[in-house]
Formats: sequence, structure tokens, C-alpha cells
Amino acid sequence: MVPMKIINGLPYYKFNVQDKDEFTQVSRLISQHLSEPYSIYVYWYFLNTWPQYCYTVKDPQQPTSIIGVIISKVEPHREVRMRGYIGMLVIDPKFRGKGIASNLVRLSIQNMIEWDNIDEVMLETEVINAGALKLYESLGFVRSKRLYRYYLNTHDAYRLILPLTEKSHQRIAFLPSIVNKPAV
Amino acid sequence: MSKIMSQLAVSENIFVHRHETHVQIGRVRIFGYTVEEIVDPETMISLDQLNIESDADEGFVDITAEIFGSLDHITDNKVVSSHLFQLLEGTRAVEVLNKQLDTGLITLSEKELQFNTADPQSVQSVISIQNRLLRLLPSWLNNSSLPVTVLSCRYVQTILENFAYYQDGSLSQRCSLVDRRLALDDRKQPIEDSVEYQLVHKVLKAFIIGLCKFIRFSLNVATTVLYEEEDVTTRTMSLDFLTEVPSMAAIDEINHTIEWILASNIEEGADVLIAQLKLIQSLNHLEVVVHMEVPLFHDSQGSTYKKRPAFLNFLVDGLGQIEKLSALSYTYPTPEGAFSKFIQLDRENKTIPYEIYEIDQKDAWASLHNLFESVDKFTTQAHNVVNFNQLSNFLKFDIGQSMSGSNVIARGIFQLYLIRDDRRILGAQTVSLGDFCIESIENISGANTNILSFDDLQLSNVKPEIRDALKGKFQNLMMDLESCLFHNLTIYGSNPCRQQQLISKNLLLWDTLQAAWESFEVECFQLCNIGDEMPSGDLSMSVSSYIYFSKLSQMLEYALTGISLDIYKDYELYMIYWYSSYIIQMICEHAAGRMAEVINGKINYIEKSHPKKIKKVKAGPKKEQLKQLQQYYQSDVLPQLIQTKNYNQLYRVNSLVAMSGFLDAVGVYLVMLSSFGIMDFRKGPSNSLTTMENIYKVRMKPFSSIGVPSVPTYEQYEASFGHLGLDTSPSKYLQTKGLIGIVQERLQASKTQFKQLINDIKENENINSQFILNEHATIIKWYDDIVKSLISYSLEFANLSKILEEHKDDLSQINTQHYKVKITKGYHKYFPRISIEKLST
Repeated sequence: MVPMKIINGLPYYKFNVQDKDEFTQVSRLISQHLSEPYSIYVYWYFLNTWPQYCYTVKDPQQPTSIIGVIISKVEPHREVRMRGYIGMLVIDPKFRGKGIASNLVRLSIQNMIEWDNIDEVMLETEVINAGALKLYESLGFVRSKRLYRYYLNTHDAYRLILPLTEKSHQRIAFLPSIVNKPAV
Repeated sequence: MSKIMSQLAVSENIFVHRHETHVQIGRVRIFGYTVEEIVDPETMISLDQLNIESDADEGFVDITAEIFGSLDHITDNKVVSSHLFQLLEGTRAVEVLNKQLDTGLITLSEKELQFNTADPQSVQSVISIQNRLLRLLPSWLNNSSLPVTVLSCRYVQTILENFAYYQDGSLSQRCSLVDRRLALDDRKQPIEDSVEYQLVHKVLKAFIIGLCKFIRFSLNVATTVLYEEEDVTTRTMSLDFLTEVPSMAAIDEINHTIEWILASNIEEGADVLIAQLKLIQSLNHLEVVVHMEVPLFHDSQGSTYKKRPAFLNFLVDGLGQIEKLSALSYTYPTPEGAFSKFIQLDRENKTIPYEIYEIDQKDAWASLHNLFESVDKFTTQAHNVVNFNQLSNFLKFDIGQSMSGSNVIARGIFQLYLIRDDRRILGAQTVSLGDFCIESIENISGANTNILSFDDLQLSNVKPEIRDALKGKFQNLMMDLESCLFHNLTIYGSNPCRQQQLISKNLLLWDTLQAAWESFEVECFQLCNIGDEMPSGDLSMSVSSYIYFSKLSQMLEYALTGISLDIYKDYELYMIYWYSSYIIQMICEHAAGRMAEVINGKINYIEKSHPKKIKKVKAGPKKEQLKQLQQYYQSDVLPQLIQTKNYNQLYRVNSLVAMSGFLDAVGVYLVMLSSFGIMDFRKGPSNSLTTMENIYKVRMKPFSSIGVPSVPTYEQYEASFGHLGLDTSPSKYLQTKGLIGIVQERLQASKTQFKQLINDIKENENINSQFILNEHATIIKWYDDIVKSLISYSLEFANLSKILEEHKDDLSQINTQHYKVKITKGYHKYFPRISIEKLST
């Protein structure tokens, strides 16, 4: 498979939904490094519905070995905004500190803007996850809410928002619907 | 279905147990019909490892072929989603063969599987079991769930299962501790008259009955007023926590048990058993709090501080038992197998496997202590409320600012205690939500609000169709106002994050109400001359004025509370202080201007307009009626108006003005740091994928829909940095030095104002009568902390002045290479410490 991009010598790929080994590697990487356990349903939900927003980074020394992954989606939010959502982002600890996570986030957001004309990007992260907060906040994400005891480990979470258009600044009640409802 | 379908494409063998939920102790089972792909050799177990042979292993049927056959038509490898499934459910779904997700893979020891709850136990053993349950109870309330805390106890599970099974008999008989599913040999009855037998079947049973009753009460509290998973997780594994048993029955059961202990020959440990039982009793008494009637506003003197009502003495008793029990050490082990993950494996389980969750013993005692102490505090405080301002200040300071750290059930009990099912406040017969609404308005806008006595007499000269329309509008608007206040009352006992979200929602309500009431008050005044007048004769709009004040106050609170929730990044701090300064300026103007004029108008009416009106009326019954009314105005209404006017001026306006000065000073300090380039508020993150304008606007989003006051534009925000002229000043040193001098004076003035305020709260009869001042009061600490913050900011300015002096010949030396700004927790939640530190070279 041809990489989408090569940055600092590392190849960035679009997730191959047909490749069972990629699925196995991605789910293993996530279950090893994220605190929340995710069911297969969640992986399939994201990867099959929005394969265009799942990107992997592979080890140039072992071209089939995935060392980083980002899984995202884009959907209308409450029928009034296009919202990108970053569900999972994991980098193999051996490869951290090389800007891979930042590149994956940028790649995802650039494509979300280009393909789906999103108004904002959203995600949640633990209040104690200093690394994630530093990464996202350096990219302009803003803490929009604090969510009480959001995670199974009792930690609070921040909801982070990256505002991109005028719509992202307006309350939902004051925005028109963007969803075409079927005629009755 | 989507969950299953999504997984089947690559599944190999699928087995389904014959019995979906019913289990046999000691077998490896696969629950339900969920199936799983073998994905990860590290976290997943191969079906082969389970050694399941469909033919040989009775109880399992291989349905692989049938399932695959039924899915032949699915070819596009897509998740088939059903409206019956949500993402969260998917996340939590139990999946077979994944150790992290499949409860069927939980392994239990033989002792855990075969644990016999009917076996006699020693005194120490029972003490140890009960102690562990007293530790697991607050563990549950610490964001855990019952299956991994209290329900991990086989005794609790057995009692609840038997209670559901045996429909007849006494409470004790129904709550049998004999496990019906154990082999008959294991169920043999030990000698019933042995003390060890009674310790289990009488003492431990009574303890668990009481514990379960309290859990039932807590579940009721949680499902009524708390937030699922956020505050409490109410999952019960489909076990009923003795719903139909009255609390008093559980309390009686414990009483009988205590009597038995006292009459028995237990030499060591009897006092501990009794203390544990009494603690459970006290927990069960908590239920009375949500039904008690508070004598709200009864004692108009209010000078004598009322102590705790006698029927709440159980709170002290509960605290006493905790003190006694927490002083002991519990080294004796609980019987092996009594606590395990058995229930997670045994009963229908929709969640993933968890280890048993136990908080530290010390934290457990602290949590229980906090429960009784919090309830004691708020009930005692509420019993001393003699006027509306006291109630309002109690809610704002003693509850809203202090209760967020309280035991979650205490917060829930407070919500139920504050607003009852029939919408009475604190259960007071005389204070409905409607009364509360009127009191709320008149404690800001003064008594005798003309438009609130909207009746046929006032509308007698109006055409019937207009009268009916106005009356209809009035009723609807009052209902809207009551709804808003109801919503507002739910904020105080909520967790701090939820408080912020509720305030955000409330801003919309207040804003909508303001527009609607303004229009209605103008309409009534124009059409039928209903409404209060200012001394100038213009319409004063009492209700709208109150709504505007409330809205602005909540806007300010929302903006500043974000600081304590750590919502704002450093580069956003100036934005918040600048916006807060703008809002508080609006509140000050409104409070000192229109709000004062609304009351002055009402006073003017009593002192001038109404007497003139009386003079114009000819002698007769009507004149006499008006004279009597004037007498009532003079004796009852006028003192209230003067009290409200004094309170508004001496407390509300003064506190706002003092706070305004402080907020301004912090804003100026931040502009100074920005002008030296050691703090950024204009560019935002260097790698940002969005603009600073977008960041500014999204931060202002909660206020974006508010008509008045409108959110300042981004251009105004940018321009605000130039107002002090620091960026362009040719003599920046002198300019900054001069400004520091001015701001220090402002800080000093604010400090003096706050100190005066503290003094007034303590000493001034007009003010201190509006607060409940006792050992539980938090108001003085609130203002003391602000004063400490003021002093600390004064020191920061002094430090900046010193740095300025050091570099007066070359101010470019004040830069990020030599200095950094450190932001740490301050004395007050609104004011973190922002200090400049010299970097070591």
C-alpha cells in the first residue's frame, strides 16, 4: 500500500479496512495504551463507518508494523454543525517525542476540513493526561467543559473543542438544521 | 443485533449456553448470544483454550453454522446499526473471549465458588465482614458500582436473592442466609443455638438488611436528583434492595439484634458489633431529612441561634459511632471467599469485569463522617433561616460554594430536602415555589410590586379581551419564572462541573425571561397603567430589573467559576478577567442605578404619591380604606423597602464595587505582563490550527446569544490592550510605574471595602441579620480569602515594580529569556496566583 505522506522518514497510511492484521494491530495498540477498555464493536463502528479518518504510521524498519494510529469520525452534531471527533490516538511509546501524534491530528483535521467542511473538532481527555492536553492545546483546542468523573478510573475529563467556523461559536438553539430530513 | 453482526464475519466457532442467565457454580460459561472474533492473542483467549466440545460438553450447543447461515446476505463488511444500540452500549458490551471485556472469563477459587453463607462465624469474623461492608459502601459512592463493592459480598447477594425468592414469611425469614443453590450437604443446618450461628443469622443479617435499606434509599436519591455514572452508578444486577421493606422494619430488626447482643454472653467485641449496627441505624434514619418540615422564616427575631432539632440527634449518634469504630484497627481477616467477583460471573451482567474496588479505610470513615456532618450542617443552618436573604445567602455560600466536596448522598439528600415533590421549599407549609419566586423578586426589587398583584381590580377599566389576554400572559410568565427558579435551585447541590453546565443553561432561560417580562411590563403600563414607577414617573420594571440582575450575576459566576474548574489556559486568563470586569461594571451600574430607583420609586409612592391620592378622595368609606392601606404601607411595607434598600446599597453594591476594583486590577496586571511579552493573550498557541479570534469567540459562546449585554467583539478585545497605552508609550517605564501606583491604590481601596464588608457582616445589624452566622457559616471565609488574594496581588505588583526598577534603563531585559510567569493556586477560587519569577541564568 502506498503511504499518504512521509514525514520525517515515517510513512503515514490510510487504514486498510480489508486487512485483518491491521485491525488486530490497531486494536492491540489501543488496548495496551489507553485506560478505557473498548469493545470490538467500537473499533468496527469507527473503522467501518469512517475508514477515511483512520490513519496509521508504520515502522520503516518493519513496514507492516503499526506504531501509531488515530481513529476519528465526522458527523452532524445535533443536526446543526459538522463535527469532527477524535476517538482514539495512540503512539507506541518507543516512537513518542517525534511529533507523530501531532502529525496524525493535523492530517485528520486537514482532511476533515477538505472532505466534510467541518465546523469544529471535539474530543475528551483525562484532566491528568498532561501529554494529551499539551498536544491538543498546542494545536488550539480549547477546554469547553469539565466532565465530572467521566472516566471509569474516576478521573474528570475535559471536553476539548477546536473551533473552526462561525457556527462553532454559536449556541445550538440558534443554528439552523443542516440535515435534510426526508419528506413526510 | 448490530453488535453480533459486526463480529461474525471472521468468527470461527460460536457456542451458546443453553441457559442464558442462570448459572451453575464452578463452570466456565459464555453468557447470552454475544460472540467474538479472536483478535489479539494477548488479550483474547482462543475458543480452543476453553476445551469446549459441543457434543461432549453438556450445556453447550454449537450454533456456528446457523449464525453464519443467517448472515449470508451481509456482504459489504459494514456495521449494521440498530436504533436499539448506542455507542456507549457498544463500548460497555460484554464480549466473549476478551479478558478485558468478558465477565464469563472471570476465574474464581474453589473457596469463592463454594462459599457457604450459612456457616457460623466468630465475633471477630463478623466484625471484620461488617467493617469491610462499611468500607465498601463509601467505595460504591466514590464513583464505583455495587457489583464491585457491596455486592461483591456473598452474604449481601444471598440475602437479596432469597428475599426475592421467598415471598412469604417474616423479614428475617425472607432474608435467609442459606444459599438455595448449594448442594444439600452444604446446606445442612448447624446448631442453631450456638452464638456463632446467631452472629451470622441474626447479627450479620440485621446489619445487611439495614445496609441494603440504606442502599435502596441512596438509589432513590440518586435516580431522583443525581446524575447517573457522574455522581452515582445505580446498577444493581437486577437485585431489589428491599424496596418493599419499610426503613423502620430494618431499624427494629437492628434494635432486636442489639438487645440480643446485650443479653448474650459475648465477652469481646460486643461493643463493636453494637456500634456497627447503630451506625447502620443512623444511616437509615437519614431518610427523615427529606420529609421534615423546616420552620422557614418563623422566628422574625432571629437573634437566638437554634440548635439541632432533637429528632436529628441520630446525626450526632452516627458521628459518634464513626469516631468509635475508626479508632479501632481491623486486622482479623474476612472469611476466604466471602468477598469476590462471584456476582459478576454469577448474575446477568451487562458490564465488563472489574476488580473489587475498595477505598482506603481512612477515606471510607471520612466519607461516612462527611455524610452525617454535611447533613447536620445544612439542616442546622436551614433551621435558622428567618428571612429570604438568609436563605439566599445560605444557598449561595454555604451550599453552592461549599457542598460540592461533600458526600454525594449528602448532596442528593440536600436537593430533596430543598425542593419537595409538591414544590414546597424546605418543606415549609408557607413557602411554595410561587412564594419563593415572589420573595426572590422582592428581595432585589423591594416589596409591594404592583405587577405581582395582577388582579381584576387593577384591570377593571380594561376591555375584557385585553384583560383576559394580559391575565393569560401574566400566568404564563410567572410559570416560566418559577421554572427558571426551580432550575436554579437544582444548581446548588450539584457537582461542580454540573453546576457550571446548569448555569450555562440557565443563562438562556434568564435572557428569554428578561425579553418577555420587559415587553409585558411595558405593555401593562401602557395599556392599563399597571406597574411601579420610579421617582421620575417613568416605569421602573421591577420584575425585569430583578431578572436582569440575576442574569448578570450568573454570567459573572459562570465566567469566574471556570477558573476554579481549570477550564482556561494561561493565554485565556486576561480574556476572562477583562470580560468579567465588563459584566461586573454592568451589574454595579444596574444595582446602583435602576435597582435603587425601583425601590426609591416604591418608597416615593408610599411617602408622596399615595398620600396625595388620599387627599384627592372625598371623605367616605373609600378614603378610610385608603387611609388604612397607607397605615399598612407605613408600618409594614416601608420598613421592608428601607431594609432592602440598605442591604442592596451596603452589601450588594459595595461587594460588587469592591470586586470590580479587584477584577480591574488583575486585568491591568495581565496587560502589563503582556506588554513586556512575558505572557501572551493575543496570539494563542504557536501551532494553532485555528485563529485567536475563533478561540475568543468559542470562549464567549455561552454568552453569545444574550442580547443585553452583548458580547464585546474580538476587535474590542484586541483594542483593550491598547487602552493603557503601554505598547506604544515612549516612556514605558514611567507609564508602567505610574499605572502600578494607581492600581495599588485601587487594590487598597478594594481591600478596605472588603474589610468594611466583613465588618458589616459581623457587626452591622442591617447586614448581619441577612446571614446565618454560626460555626458552619462560610461567608466570612469567602471574603477573608478575597482579602488575602488582594494582598497577594498587591505583592505581585510590588514585585513587578521592583523588576521594572532593576531594568529601568533597558526594559527589553524584561522578557521570556529572563523571566517566566508562574500560575499557582491562590487563596480564593476566582484568583489564582500569577507571579513573575526570574529565570536562573
